[in-house]
Amino acid sequence: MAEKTKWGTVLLFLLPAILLLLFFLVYPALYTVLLSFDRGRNGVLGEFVGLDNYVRVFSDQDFINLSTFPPSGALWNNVVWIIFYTSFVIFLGLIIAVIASRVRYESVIKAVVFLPMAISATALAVIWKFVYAPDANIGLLNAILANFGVSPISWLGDQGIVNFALIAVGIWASVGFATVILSAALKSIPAEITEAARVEGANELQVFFRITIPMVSLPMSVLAVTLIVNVIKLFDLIYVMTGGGPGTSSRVIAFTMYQQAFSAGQYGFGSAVAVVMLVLLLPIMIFNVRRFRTQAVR
Amino acid sequence: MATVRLEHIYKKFGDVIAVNDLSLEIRDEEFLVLVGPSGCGKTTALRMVAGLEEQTSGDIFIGDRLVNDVPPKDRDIAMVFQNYALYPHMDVTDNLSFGLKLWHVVRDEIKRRIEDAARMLGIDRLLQRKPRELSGGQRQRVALGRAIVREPKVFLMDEPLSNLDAKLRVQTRADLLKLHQRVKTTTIYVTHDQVEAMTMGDRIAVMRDGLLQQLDTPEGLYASPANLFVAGFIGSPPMNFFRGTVRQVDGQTMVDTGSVRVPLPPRVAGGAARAALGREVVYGIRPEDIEAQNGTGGWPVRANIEVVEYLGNEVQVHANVQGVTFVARLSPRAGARVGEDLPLSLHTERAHVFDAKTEDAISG
Repeated sequence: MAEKTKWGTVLLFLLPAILLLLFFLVYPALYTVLLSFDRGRNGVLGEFVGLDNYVRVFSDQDFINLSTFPPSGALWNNVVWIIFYTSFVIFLGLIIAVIASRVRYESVIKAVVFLPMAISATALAVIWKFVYAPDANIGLLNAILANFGVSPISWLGDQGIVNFALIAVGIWASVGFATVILSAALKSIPAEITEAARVEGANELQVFFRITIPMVSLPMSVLAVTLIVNVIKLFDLIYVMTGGGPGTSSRVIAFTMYQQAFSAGQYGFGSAVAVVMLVLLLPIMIFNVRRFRTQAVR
Repeated sequence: MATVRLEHIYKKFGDVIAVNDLSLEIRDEEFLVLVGPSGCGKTTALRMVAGLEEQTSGDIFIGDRLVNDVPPKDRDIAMVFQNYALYPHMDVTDNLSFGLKLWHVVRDEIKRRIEDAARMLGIDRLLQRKPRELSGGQRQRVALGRAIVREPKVFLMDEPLSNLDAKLRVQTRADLLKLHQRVKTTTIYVTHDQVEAMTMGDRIAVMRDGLLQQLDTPEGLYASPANLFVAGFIGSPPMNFFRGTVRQVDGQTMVDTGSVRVPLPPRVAGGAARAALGREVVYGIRPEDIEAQNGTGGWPVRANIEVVEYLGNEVQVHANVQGVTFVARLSPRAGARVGEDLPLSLHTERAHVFDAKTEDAISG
């Protein structure tokens, strides 16, 4: 017997969440969108400028520069991050999860790999600044190279290297997360299924690519989406390690937004960057919501 | 087609001996059932034949080939798992063709084999479905089909019916037998269910605690169990046992429980009985070897009826004769009523006697 829905009660329970979302999410988001069409002097609305901010954002060589090869700019750096960071984190996470599942001290391995997750991004950025220090007396990496007679490399000072040096830190920090997620996914595959494949004539590689990978594809895509969202929002690591430098060569979208709005006082420009970021995140969010919905149906 | 030979197989997990000196020869085209309670080592034995588990010592031959160091994929076997182990991300066709593709069987041949197997198993209309869209019985058929299309030397089946409901299990049991009569592939079938074992096996190997107890035809196991365990395991409801001492009473060798005396079966009553005189034994008689007295012979006893279980075609009564209790399968017309006395006759010529210490059968 279905009881009549008491809308008053429903509303009462939803109210706190709705209020919080309105004040801290919906209102700021709408305000940011409005600001992106405004000069936004001192962060307040006053002078409508139409699409001016967007034109400036996309003609800013520091935001996106397609005239060189490879392209450069904050938006391009994010693309590089997405490609290398996401694929390497998943690849390494899967390899470690598979290898760890075959040894007895699996939990130790997973704990060690997961450890960076427990360190705040700021703290691990500081640690890696030391690792990357150009002075071989301070920098671990250059000290190791010095042993092989290689002269010190300025990891964070070279425009061609800095992004990859940062991405490596990002990978180091996230592999543990991927390992734990994928290891749980691997464990959910019944042993009989891989055994059946082995009896049927599959070797280890065939089992891995034709049984294991397809069976963890769903958690893997969840992981990929999470990582991509994290990359698009990436800020702290870069702020602490390079401040976007050398020059502007390691800036990413979120960093540009912060720098323009809060350091340079260009609230309109910064808001336009924020809106671009939101637009980039939207399809991923829609994809995610859709997939959860189809899963719920199953 | 091939024989499978296990020679002195041991399997140890740490200090636990899962399989203890198992030697078996499965004949070509034979349907051999490995049966025993859970933890008896039957599944481990099967997995060693598959190569999924490595024996601690001993040799396994498939055909004439020693396969100790041969990986599962090269043993030319097919295995059916208890939970079917279908590949969830593939449809039925892909599930059936997975192994064939790995062996680079040509496409027309794959198609032919899948069609044949699908028709044989009645799954030809399910070929495009994913495993999650199939019922338990259908999944089970697909799992069988996956084994059949490979046309292997040996089928290994690990409790393939235990996830089906009771009705479907009986039907599938018969289907499996028909299938075996058609393809005639040597089969090793593991189950804990003695009814499955009895109805399906050409021969049955009964295992317990890693040890082979007896290897015989269903008829052989039923008629002459080698020891107390086999006697109690085969048959439902199980054989009645009571302890007693062998004595000479009025020129006849009897088992004396203290309150009841029953004669030894004639095949035991000779030299073996004389040797057993004064010894403690376990006397076993099956519920179906006890009848309501109708003047056709047997050893008469007067039993008090404690419980009557009505099953339609028969009643199972729990009877008590001076403190000795046993179960008997009687006709519903025998007139058994709770609390009343009923004259019964025991067909002692079909009884079994076991040494109380060694638990081995005593026979003449």
